[in-house]
Amino acid sequence: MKIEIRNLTKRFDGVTAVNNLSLTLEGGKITGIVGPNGSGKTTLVNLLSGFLPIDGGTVILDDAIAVKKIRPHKIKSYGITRTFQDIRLFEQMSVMDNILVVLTERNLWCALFECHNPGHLQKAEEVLRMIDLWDKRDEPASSLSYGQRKLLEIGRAVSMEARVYLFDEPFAGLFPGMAGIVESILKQLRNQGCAVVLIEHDMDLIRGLTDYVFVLDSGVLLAEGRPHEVLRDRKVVEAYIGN
Amino acid sequence: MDILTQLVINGIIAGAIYTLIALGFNLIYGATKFFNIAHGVFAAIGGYTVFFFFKLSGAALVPSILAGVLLAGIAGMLSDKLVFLPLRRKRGSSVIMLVASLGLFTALQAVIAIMFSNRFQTLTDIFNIQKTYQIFSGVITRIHIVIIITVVSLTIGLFLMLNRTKFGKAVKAISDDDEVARIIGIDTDRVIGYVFFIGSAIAGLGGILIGFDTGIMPTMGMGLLLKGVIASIVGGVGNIYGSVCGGLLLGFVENFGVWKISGEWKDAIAFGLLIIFLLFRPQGVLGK
Amino acid sequence: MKKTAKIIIGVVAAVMVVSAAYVHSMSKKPVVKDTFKIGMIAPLTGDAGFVGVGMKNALLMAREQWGDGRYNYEFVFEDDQLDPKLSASAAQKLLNVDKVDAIVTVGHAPRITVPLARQHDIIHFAIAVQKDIPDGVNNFTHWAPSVKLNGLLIKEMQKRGIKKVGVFRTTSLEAWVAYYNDFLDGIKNTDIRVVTDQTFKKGEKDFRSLIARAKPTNPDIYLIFVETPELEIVAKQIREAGINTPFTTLEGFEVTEQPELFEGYWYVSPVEPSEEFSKAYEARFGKRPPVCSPNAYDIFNLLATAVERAGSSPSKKPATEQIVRELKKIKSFPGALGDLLVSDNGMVMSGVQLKMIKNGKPVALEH
Ligand SMILES: Nc1ncnc2c1ncn2[C@@H]1O[C@H](COP(=O)(O)OP(=O)(O)OP(=O)(O)O)[C@@H](O)[C@H]1O
Ligand SMILES: [Mg+2]
Repeated sequence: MKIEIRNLTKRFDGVTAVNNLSLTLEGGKITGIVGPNGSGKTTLVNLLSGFLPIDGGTVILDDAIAVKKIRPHKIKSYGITRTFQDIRLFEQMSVMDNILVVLTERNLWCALFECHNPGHLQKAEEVLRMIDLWDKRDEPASSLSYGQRKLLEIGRAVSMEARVYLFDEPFAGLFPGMAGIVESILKQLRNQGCAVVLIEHDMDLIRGLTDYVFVLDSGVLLAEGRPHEVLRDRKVVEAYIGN
Repeated sequence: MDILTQLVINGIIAGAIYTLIALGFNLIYGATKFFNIAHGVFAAIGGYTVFFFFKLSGAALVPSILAGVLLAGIAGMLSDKLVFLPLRRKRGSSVIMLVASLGLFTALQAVIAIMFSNRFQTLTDIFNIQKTYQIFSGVITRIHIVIIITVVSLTIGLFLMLNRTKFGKAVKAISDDDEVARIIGIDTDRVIGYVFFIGSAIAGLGGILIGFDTGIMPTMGMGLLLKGVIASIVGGVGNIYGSVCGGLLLGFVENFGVWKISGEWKDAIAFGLLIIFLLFRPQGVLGK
Repeated sequence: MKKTAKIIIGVVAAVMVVSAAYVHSMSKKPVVKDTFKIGMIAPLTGDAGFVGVGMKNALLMAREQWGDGRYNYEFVFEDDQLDPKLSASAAQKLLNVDKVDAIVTVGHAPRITVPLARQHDIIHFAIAVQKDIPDGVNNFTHWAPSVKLNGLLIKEMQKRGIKKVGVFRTTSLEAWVAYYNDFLDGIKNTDIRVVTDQTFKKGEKDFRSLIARAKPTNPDIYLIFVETPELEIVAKQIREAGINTPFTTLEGFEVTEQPELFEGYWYVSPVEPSEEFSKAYEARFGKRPPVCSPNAYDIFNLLATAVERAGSSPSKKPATEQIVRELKKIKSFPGALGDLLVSDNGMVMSGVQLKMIKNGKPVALEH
């Protein structure tokens, strides 16, 4: 899986949050995206997941499909999924249902009359055990702790069985035990050949986990390369300190 | 006759009728988060379809009722596709949606009035006196038993649909966060279209049953809608079980109210209940 | 010569006279008749639409029969669907846009039109029962008086030994409130009592709890003061509550489409219109004349009579004051509703009669 971004631009009144940005995300790698607050990282994810309309530029999927307009309900079929910096769960539903809701073929007749098949239940159990929420499966999502909510959201993304994962600060605010779970999930996805994008402010995590890093500043690409080299770059250090 | 028993029965009957309207209203509100004023007119569409097929054209009862339910559902779904969906795409505010639904309501009601005149009509041949049954020391008619059974089955049906089926999960997901629902692959526009179909079809069935109980008028929708909305708010707006709670509570309060105060206060009692809830418990009995 | 001169003078004089007459007749323009405009506010659509349509038909028929009078008579018909808001806007339109000389009303419109008639100094003829509507200056009514209707109702109750009356009535329409107050006045010195009085708003469809309240009082008869469709719905729900007490009312059973509900029950209503009127109406419109249509017919004839008597020249219609003076001089007038008398306070009263639904049809009873 490969996503190539060409000259992507997004303007809000006054601010150009993403400015003529070109970069490539590759399968089997964890790609780090770093940059000071307000540098356009989340906006990039919003553009790739169809949350915001693209103002200019093209996204090329697998060297084959070029799209200028991404519709949110289409990204599942492109094999893209994401998480949110500010966690977004289905609060009214149980923990289990938050996972089950994505394991669904959207054929109306099946959907109206069919309950979940054993395969779905098995997959949900697998995911919930991985994020250590199996015991809480029948509780409403709204009753979980912050860390558990973060994990559940990551679990939901994993259940999508996508090929491109866009994680927006998945480690933020997690205790070390939970951060370990997230780390192993990220590695597992990389080993399966998925393109994994990690937005993160913690440079130690970036150094330890990522294969390649893009540095954004004010919506433009400031630097790119292997993490150890890029993070030593003067420009990058200045951008962070200057912020 | 023990008046209390009769009042309880009357409260349940009225509550069941209000629930019929509130169920679909709440289902649609849950998925779209706007007050669909047009909801009331689908009751009239259901009632008039049966009037047309069963009474004017002499068709059989069951196919006429099916046609009424289906047509109300289709009209509801079309109203979404032609009016509300384009507005949602343009990110119209809930006030704009409300005004649009009010416009749609008025227009559809006018069409019914032009086709069938403004007159009060009955669905049965004459004002036939219903067969009645004795319950303890009160009486209840056959059509009321049918209405109560319908409401109970619809509520159970909706419960199972929302909680057991994948479609229900999709509806709940949209209700919770429609943007996220979209990125996990739910075609929210289609699902909301079906929600409109189901909600409006239930309203249509309500209109038909009310037509067999008392009668139909093109303007019947507004009165029903108001009571349905009060029931929804009192029970907890957007909550299916809230519809039942709110409907029953409203039915009881109205019927016990007119026991002690005179009958022309009935609507005032209903709106009084609404205001009390808006002031002291805006989330309704069940909340969200 | 003398003779010849005489002939010449005679011929010249004759020519002069003829030509003078001719010139005079040429210079005189043909007479232009002034137009007297009558507006009507009544329900033309909706449940009560048949009432307004009947009135409209009756007015048109009265004008046809009146033929070529001293003035032209023009109508403007407004549909208020028995909705007071629409009545008010219709009255404003008739007065300010159409500038009518007289208005005929029914339902909610009379009450709204009374002050406007005074303000614009026009004649207002209401088909209404309220005693405070006519003033004999601008406002007139033509209806069987409530006191007479209630008097006969109470007399019949006494004759039948009815003592306990259960009442179901709407408080939304003034006429029913007026009827009920007169009923209460009428039973004051009798042994008839109202054992239960259940009131409700027009538009109510669920009377079950009111019925549950009324049932234990065990009345001998239920007096229902509301029109269709509530009349039928109340009656039906009373039966469904397992109560078999008879019903009565003023006027109501006359127009029901569900006479089965009232089969065999007596009631009091205004006198039947004359055979002559009914036949003419049926011949012209193919239907029996509905309630209020004979009233409208009489109102046109009374108005036209007074207008033509008051008018001095066809080119200028008389003023309201002059018409009213002529109107109040009418003390015996052959109308569709019998011999009519215009009282000084502006009431035109017609008679009342006892009726019963027999085989689904209203028939008059002897009394
Ligand atoms: N919906 C929006 N409307 C207007 N401006 C926006 C919107 N979303 C983002 N912005 C602006 O775009 C710029 C980039 O924001 P973005 O959220 O992408 O930054 P970020 O790199 O994710 O920052 P952080 O590290 O704080 O999450 C900011 O100036 C922000 O104010
Ligand atoms: Mg961000």
